[in-house]
Amino acid sequence: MMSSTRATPARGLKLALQLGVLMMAVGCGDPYRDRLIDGLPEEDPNFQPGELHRPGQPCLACHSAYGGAPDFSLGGTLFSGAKPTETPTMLGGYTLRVYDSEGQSRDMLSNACGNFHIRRKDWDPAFPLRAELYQDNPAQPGKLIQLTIMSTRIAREGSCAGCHIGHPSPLSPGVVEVPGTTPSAVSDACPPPWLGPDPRAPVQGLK
Amino acid sequence: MKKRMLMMLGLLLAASSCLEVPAAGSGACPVDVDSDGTLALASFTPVSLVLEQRCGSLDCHGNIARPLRIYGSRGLRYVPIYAFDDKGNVIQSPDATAYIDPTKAEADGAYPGAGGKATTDAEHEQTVRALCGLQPEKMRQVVFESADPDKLLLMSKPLNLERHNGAKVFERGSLDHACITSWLQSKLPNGAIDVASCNETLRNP
Repeated sequence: MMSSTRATPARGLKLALQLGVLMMAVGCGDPYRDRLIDGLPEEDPNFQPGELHRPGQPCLACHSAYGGAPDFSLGGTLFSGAKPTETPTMLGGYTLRVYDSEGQSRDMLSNACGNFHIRRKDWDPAFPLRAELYQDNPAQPGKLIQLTIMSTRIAREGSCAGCHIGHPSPLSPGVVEVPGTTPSAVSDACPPPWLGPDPRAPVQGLK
Repeated sequence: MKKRMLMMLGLLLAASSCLEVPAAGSGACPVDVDSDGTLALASFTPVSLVLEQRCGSLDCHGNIARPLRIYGSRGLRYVPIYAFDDKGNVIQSPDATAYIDPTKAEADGAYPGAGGKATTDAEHEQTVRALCGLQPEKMRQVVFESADPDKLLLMSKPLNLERHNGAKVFERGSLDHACITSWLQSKLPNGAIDVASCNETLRNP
């Protein structure tokens, strides 16, 4: 004898609960961020998560409430050699100064692999932001020399690599380049830089 | 009765799906079309530059993922990267090689580059098409029937009257507001683009 497929109240409740759990599991994801994170390479086994890892990648993909890593307000990597024919290498020892819309500012020093960041608990800036790049003044220790000012405001993106991706293209000005520097040999002390692909590319597998 | 209603609904849907979406210069947009069929962009340029500066950074509307795209020298550059083949599939445009191959782009000087070459007419045109294609019917009402410009998403979003990830970009009565509103109302009797406000606000970062 075939069993009845008609849902009893208890069975209906169970189904509704299962559906609810399924929807919660599916509905809590952010497909844009998931795709962004999935598009990044695996962690380099020689460089565990820390200040030197993943140069050139969009820091806030993971360093956010969604990504689960320590929450950053801003993060990025400084490079030398962003021209189309050059291979960018990371640059340490330069200072990025960021002003927010309330006039507050913070300095971030790039480390040996060019990375810099600021944690959200230390500063949660009011966007839009203005960014300036400095180097130490060898003639006056403790003083800085301004190298350049970012030509546009940062409207909302905390990861430099959210916009500054790879070589210059119609979609990106390229990696954040320190002007007046030339790329040096790639060092084993840092992971290889990530230069793309552009996570915003709308069409995959073009002919 | 129910059948009749469904039929009427079907006919209504069929009719509405055939409506042509007005494009720039076709009547829903405050931009004239020259005798050769091209858009007369000179008057729009000051407005376009304001939109570029306020809205067009790469992390906002200078991004091809956005329904409203603002092109220009400060962010997204327009190049014909994509085209369609005979079957309607998206393919790489034959003209795109210089932009895709960075060595060729540098050699040919073809890459327009953010912060490099000034915003081109092709970019102004893409911007105006994006603006006018956003809410074509409401745009027509604003441009020709004196409807309130602040009802358009183009204004209600930056005014933060409507949920906007970029929050409030400008206030009512600001130079930006005056510039863009004057463009939207420039086809009304006595309407004119407030170029002075556009140029003045561009002096602010």
